[in-house]
Amino acid sequence: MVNKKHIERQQARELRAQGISIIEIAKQLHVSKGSVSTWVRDIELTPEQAHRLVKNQGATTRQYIPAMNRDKAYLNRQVWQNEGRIKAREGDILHMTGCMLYWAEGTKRRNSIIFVNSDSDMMRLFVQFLREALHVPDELMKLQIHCHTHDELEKSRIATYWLNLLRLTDKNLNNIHTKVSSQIAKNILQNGVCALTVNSTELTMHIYGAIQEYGGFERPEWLF
Amino acid sequence: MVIKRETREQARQLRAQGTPIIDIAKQLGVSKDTISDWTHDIELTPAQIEALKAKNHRSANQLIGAKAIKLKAREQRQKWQEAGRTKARENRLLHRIGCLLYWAEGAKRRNTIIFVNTDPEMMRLFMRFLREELRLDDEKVTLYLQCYTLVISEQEKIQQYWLDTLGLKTANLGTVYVKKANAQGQNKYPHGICTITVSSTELTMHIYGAIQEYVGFERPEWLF
Repeated sequence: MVNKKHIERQQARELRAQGISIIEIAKQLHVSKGSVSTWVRDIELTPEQAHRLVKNQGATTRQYIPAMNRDKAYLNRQVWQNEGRIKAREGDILHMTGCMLYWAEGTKRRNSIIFVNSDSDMMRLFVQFLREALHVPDELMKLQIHCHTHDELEKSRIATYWLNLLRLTDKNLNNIHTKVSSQIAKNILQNGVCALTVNSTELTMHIYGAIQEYGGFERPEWLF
Repeated sequence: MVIKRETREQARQLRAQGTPIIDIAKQLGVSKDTISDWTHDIELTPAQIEALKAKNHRSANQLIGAKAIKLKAREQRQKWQEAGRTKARENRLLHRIGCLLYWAEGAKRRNTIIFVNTDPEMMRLFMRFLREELRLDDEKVTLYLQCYTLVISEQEKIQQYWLDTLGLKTANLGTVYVKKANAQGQNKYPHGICTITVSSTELTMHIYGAIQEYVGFERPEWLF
């Protein structure tokens, strides 16, 4: 005598081989999802079938995709930090200088290098570091300028000042903010404050790795 | 603070009339330095300047002496900067790191090294730089702490944390300030903010000289 369960099992396996989802099979055969799952788990789906399932199915399958991505991204960040550490061991002076300045002045973000300063020599040196030590192409550098004036003429003078100083073009200039504040700020920061952004997790992590190597300490929170 | 603002306005009015700073200070019961700070951007007319000069009770010889002392001090600062540059040419890694961090984070004073940070690794590295590269005696270091808690036992914990981190003694402790007792600050900076202070024109100038040598620029205003 052929077991009823045995037939259901066969049917379930045939359906699964066609790429039907486990929930769907369970409904059709009036058996539990758990049973279907144990019956069919050794059946390998073709990539197309798997893809379709991921696309069509509910949250159950989709849920672990972000988790997988998260792990992968974490691993990537680790790899990039390690690259920074290796570079740090080469003893490149410009690389060390840039990383130390970033440790001190940089925004400690995960995905962007953001360096803000009003000191023209420091900004110039930092851009040199990005170009020569990290090989950042100019088009990735975004400039924001904070100034203390509403005068349009003065604003464009300040913008030109920074663009010339850093050998960048109008394309690099994101925007000019006006900070309304005291006369004192205006007097001290005649050329405003310059903020340079490079959106790149790879390079951000590279710098964090290198800082830890140069500084001789471990900071796991920089892996985020 | 409203009273201060009114006093400040009064001081500025008096100064605009050509009143000597000392007289304003006496009249308003505020220190000379404060008056100077409030009014230094007020430009006097040539006639007012002449009148002030005529009133000045210092003799011509006194002025010559003061000028000579000023010049001598400047020459001394130049020598100290030169010593910093010479040291920079020895190309010592820790010296370079210390100077670069100071360029980024340090207060640009004339007579005092002031380095403020929340990052224990950075503070530790800077302390090592002071000890090993600048040959500084520990007793010259004063530590100021800012914390976000009013609880005395918490404050003591923070004190101990920084003394341990930097290898200093209770004798090095200056004032502990409560910045603002709130949970946000406490969460963000559980150990508060640490300030290392060393009063030494020689070492301050040494660092300025070295920064210019390392980075390759001239900043005459650091001679003050």
